[in-house]
Amino acid sequence: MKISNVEIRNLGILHDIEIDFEAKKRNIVFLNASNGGGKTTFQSALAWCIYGIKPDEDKFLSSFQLRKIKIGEIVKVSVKIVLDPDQDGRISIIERAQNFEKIGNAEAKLIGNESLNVLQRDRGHGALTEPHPAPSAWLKKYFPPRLQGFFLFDGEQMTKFWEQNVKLDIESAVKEIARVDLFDSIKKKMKELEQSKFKKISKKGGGKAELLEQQRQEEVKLLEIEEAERKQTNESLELLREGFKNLSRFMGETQNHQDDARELKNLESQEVRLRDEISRIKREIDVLVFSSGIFASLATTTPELLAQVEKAQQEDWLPPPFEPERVRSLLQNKECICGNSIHSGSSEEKKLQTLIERFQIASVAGKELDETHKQIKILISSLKSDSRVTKEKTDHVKSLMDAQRTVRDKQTEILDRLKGINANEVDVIARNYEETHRKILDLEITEKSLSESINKRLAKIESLDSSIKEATKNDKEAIQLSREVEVCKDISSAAEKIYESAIEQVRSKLEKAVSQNFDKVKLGGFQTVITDDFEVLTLKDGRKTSLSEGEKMLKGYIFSIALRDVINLNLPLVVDTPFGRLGAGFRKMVAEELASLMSGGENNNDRQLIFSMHDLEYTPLERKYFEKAKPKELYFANDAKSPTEKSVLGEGIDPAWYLEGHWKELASAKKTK
Amino acid sequence: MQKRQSSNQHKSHNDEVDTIRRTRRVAMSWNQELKESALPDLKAYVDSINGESVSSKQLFFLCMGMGIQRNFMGQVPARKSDSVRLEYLDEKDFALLKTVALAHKKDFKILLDEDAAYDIAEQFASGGLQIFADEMNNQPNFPVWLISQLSANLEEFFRQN
Repeated sequence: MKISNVEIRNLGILHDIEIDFEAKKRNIVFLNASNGGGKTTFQSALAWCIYGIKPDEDKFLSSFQLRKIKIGEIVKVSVKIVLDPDQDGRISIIERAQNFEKIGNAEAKLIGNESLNVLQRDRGHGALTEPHPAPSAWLKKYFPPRLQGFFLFDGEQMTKFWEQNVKLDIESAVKEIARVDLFDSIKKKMKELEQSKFKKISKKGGGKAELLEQQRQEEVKLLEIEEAERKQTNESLELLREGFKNLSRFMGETQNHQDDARELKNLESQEVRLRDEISRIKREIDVLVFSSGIFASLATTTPELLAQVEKAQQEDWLPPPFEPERVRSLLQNKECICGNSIHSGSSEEKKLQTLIERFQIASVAGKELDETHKQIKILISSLKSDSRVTKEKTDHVKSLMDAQRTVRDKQTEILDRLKGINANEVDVIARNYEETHRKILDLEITEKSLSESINKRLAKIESLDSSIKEATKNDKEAIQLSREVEVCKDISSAAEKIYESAIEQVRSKLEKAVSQNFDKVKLGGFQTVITDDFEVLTLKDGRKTSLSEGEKMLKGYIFSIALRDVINLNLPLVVDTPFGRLGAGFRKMVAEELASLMSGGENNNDRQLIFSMHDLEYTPLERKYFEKAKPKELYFANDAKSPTEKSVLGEGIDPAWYLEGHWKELASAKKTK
Repeated sequence: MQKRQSSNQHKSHNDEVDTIRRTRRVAMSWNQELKESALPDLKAYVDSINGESVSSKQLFFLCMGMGIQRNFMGQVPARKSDSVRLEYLDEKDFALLKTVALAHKKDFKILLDEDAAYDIAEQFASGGLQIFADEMNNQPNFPVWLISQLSANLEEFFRQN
């Protein structure tokens, strides 16, 4: 489906415009304009004509036209779109119009309701049909309102395309356009019919059959719950298995890195353990060295002590030589140790007295020395022990430090091997792999148990069915109803299969188409997955990944075009400011990809792309990207006489654009040549 | 000494008590100036090494050890009794004080005069504190330097014993 012609009368700045898109020859049209030139008005003209979305009040009736007419005069605002070919390969003309009456110098009011007409004619024959009796329904059929977002884009909003809740829109659009809703509805109706016929059968069989029917209904309800659970489990399993496949591939590719990453983690914890241990023992050593070191420094004094002890021993002062008390008692009794009498006042007695005095002093000093010596010996012994412990601890620290050095060397070696690889990421993926594997095993067990339960329940329902039939076997009407039940079951089952198969086909085709095209621009093992409920995911190594703004935009375009191909959604793609705020790199990527999607392939003649860009967006560079697709260039420019009220249409590039910026450079370069 | 000997003669039955001149001090003393300028910093450093607050006794012996190491005695002008109290010293501690005095005097009779012995110990402690005060200014990392000194002492002791 292509827009071949658009006529706009009295709508905003587009006062009297007729655009021929040369649809038979061109797939891409650029309808450019500077700001305020009419790009957005053109979009709103299409949105009004096709979806009935009224333009803003102040941008509806052309102010230029309003100024021209007299108060009380009526003016018609209209948009006519010619589709050639339309969805059915014919030519369709859609025209929507609204009358206004001028009621003041710059005021007008709506007169009556807007009109909508759809006319058709075969392409070969010239005669137009009568106006379509239900033009709104016709439009809704070919331009489903919920697919407006896949027809009229605003490039500025395009990067948000995936952030909005498009999942349900996509799902319902796919179901509607692929015409699969019908089968789902048939399945549901047949199930209801089956149930009601069974009720009738059971009534024929009396109380027992009715009881059996009640049991049957309960079983059917439980069966439905279990089947829904199993479906959900299978969907989760499928997603997990898909992710697991990628993880397995990654694991295979990075087996060595994983080993390294694990080893690195082990080494890191070993290193931390060693560091803590070294730090703890060093602290202990410091405390020990502090307390023992003080006394060790005093130990330098002990040699003199030993010398003094030795001297005292040599001079008989150590151990204390005798007991002065006993000698004194002997002296008082005038007796010598040898037994002879000592005369009082004799020189012997005086000598002995002096000797006793001297020995008395020596004995006290000797005792003091002896005691000091004993204490110092204890201290030295304890210091020896402390010193030994310190040495042992120091040796232990040395060995731990050696081990730490070895660990660090290994870490360096592994880090060299892992240069450019994020070891943490590798490790996380390895863990993710294990976790996914565990989840799959759990879900497989759940699925198995649900399947077993479902099979048992099916067998029970079958047995209940037989019992009910047995109870009603003599009733002719019941027999007829049983046959009808069988037919309902067959139809319901067939409809279900068709529905599931159609949905799956659409889903997988869409997934394939998006993946193929997106792979061209997003390299590096990314995968597009469209879930059963049409969520569009970009996975990297089985995990959801985030995309840059440009990538999101491109993915939006690619998805939109793929949707056209896969579900035969033949809408043109009309985009206002298609590149939005994209940088130069992404513009090139988007432009080249779109040009390729529009011009490549054999069946692309029905595709149409209409871009409205301003002078900063469409430059000689962008023109070059699309060169091969041979686009038609049109422009809206403000009318020279009424620049704020009216725009005119021209072909090629707006001459005003050549007066500045990139286009001026291009013009100058051409002149120089 | 002579005077005391006559006193001993007079009290000839109290041999040992009268023979040793016991001290009446209750605590050891610091050099006042150094105590104020250097001791708080030294304590802070040593606390950081020890992991907990060190006692006055440990500080006194630490300084005395350094004084002995460098054979440097400082001034202790008046008995302020502002260092470790004697009641906190055990037999081994007294033995160490006496050994220091003995090593300095090289005569075991110094043991007969406790005050004389303790004065020597105080002077070495004062000298040690002076050395630490200088090193705290000079060493870029005083705790590391201190622990290396103590460690060297211990290694030397281990080598000799």
